[in-house]
Amino acid sequence: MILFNVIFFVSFAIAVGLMLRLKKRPNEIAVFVTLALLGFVVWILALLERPFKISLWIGWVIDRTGL
Amino acid sequence: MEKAQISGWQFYLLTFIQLLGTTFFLRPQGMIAVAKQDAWMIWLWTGAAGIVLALLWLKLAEQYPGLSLVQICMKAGGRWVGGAIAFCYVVFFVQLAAWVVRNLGDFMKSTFMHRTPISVFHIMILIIVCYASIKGVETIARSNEILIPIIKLTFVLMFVFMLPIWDSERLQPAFRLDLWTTVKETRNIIGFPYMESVVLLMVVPYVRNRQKRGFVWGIISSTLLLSCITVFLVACLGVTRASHETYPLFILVQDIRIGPLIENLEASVTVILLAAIFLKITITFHGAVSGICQLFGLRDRTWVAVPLAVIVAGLALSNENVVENIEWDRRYLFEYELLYGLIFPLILLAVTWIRKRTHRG
Repeated sequence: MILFNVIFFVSFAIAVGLMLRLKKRPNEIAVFVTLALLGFVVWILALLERPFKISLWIGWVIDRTGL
Repeated sequence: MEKAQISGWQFYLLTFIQLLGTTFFLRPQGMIAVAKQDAWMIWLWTGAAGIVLALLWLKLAEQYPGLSLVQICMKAGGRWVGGAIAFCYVVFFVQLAAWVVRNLGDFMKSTFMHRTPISVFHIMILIIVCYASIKGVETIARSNEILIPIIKLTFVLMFVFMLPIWDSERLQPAFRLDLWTTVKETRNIIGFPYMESVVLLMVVPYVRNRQKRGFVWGIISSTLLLSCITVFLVACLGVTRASHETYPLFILVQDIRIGPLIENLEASVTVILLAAIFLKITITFHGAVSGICQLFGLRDRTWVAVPLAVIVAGLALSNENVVENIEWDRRYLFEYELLYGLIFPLILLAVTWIRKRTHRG
């Protein structure tokens, strides 16, 4: 997991630096940062064996609504 | 929105592969378990339902020429409500891509490379998918055009080689299915693969001509091929074996022996599976990437595709419980995909109709 964290944050820093250097628009940078951090959370949860499962939530909602 | 154009023929091929994708590997065994010798018939009614849905989606697309599904949502529903529906579609496409990537990982790990970590397969396919998505819809359509003849040829050769082990007795007794029970138990087939093809509405604005014909014929030809595969599985393996194996087509191809020289043809099936999965993920992933770009007004797909691939790989890693996935597919898939395949398009069509009437008034 330490290796994953190191690889992720190094590549994240390089990518953000590159985006700033290329003078990308703020909304592009914001979307990139949001998606990258979301990806990081999904990976960390999977590596911690507490996976992020949208399907379980959807199943719960369908059960509650009685479909 | 990217400046690209594809022909009606390319769109037909995209529809064909989007529906065939992982379906020919994952669907037949469950259907054979439910409908036994009559499993091939299920494709016909689910395919008919798929065509009706496709016509509904095309009707919606006709109201907004040149706009993709995400743009249609925003145009019809406004910035907030339409944006929320568009966002739901993007999440749906991401989830679909994660499922398909996981299917690939499960297949490769359980059949060929047992000791390789599953995330290796996910990351390797996602690198190529990401690249194809950045290059755009024309590149995807052209690679599809190159790969489909190989896939079709492999299918034809497979069918020819299967003929020596064909036994018509295994197709008996036929026409004995309990129609209502079968329809109820196989409703998830409408979800996967037919309702999932709503992602093709992200490609429709790039199609130069004959969109309707391409979409409908794509559904018809893939449905007929899937029906043929199911017949071959029953006739060559028998109901019991075909319904108990995880990948019956793979087992069937393992059984093929031509003289003392040609055997172990399963690698060829893996090639077509990989090609089909690559194309299906690419179409779905591109739908998600271009959806995010259109939703947030972004021009460069690269900075969306790369982090999205990280999310898809993580989500694919999270879907590890196979029994849970099968149960989810059986119990919730149809209800969930109904929202994207029928309810949202109907709402959007109704809103469009009301707006047009109000404007006229």
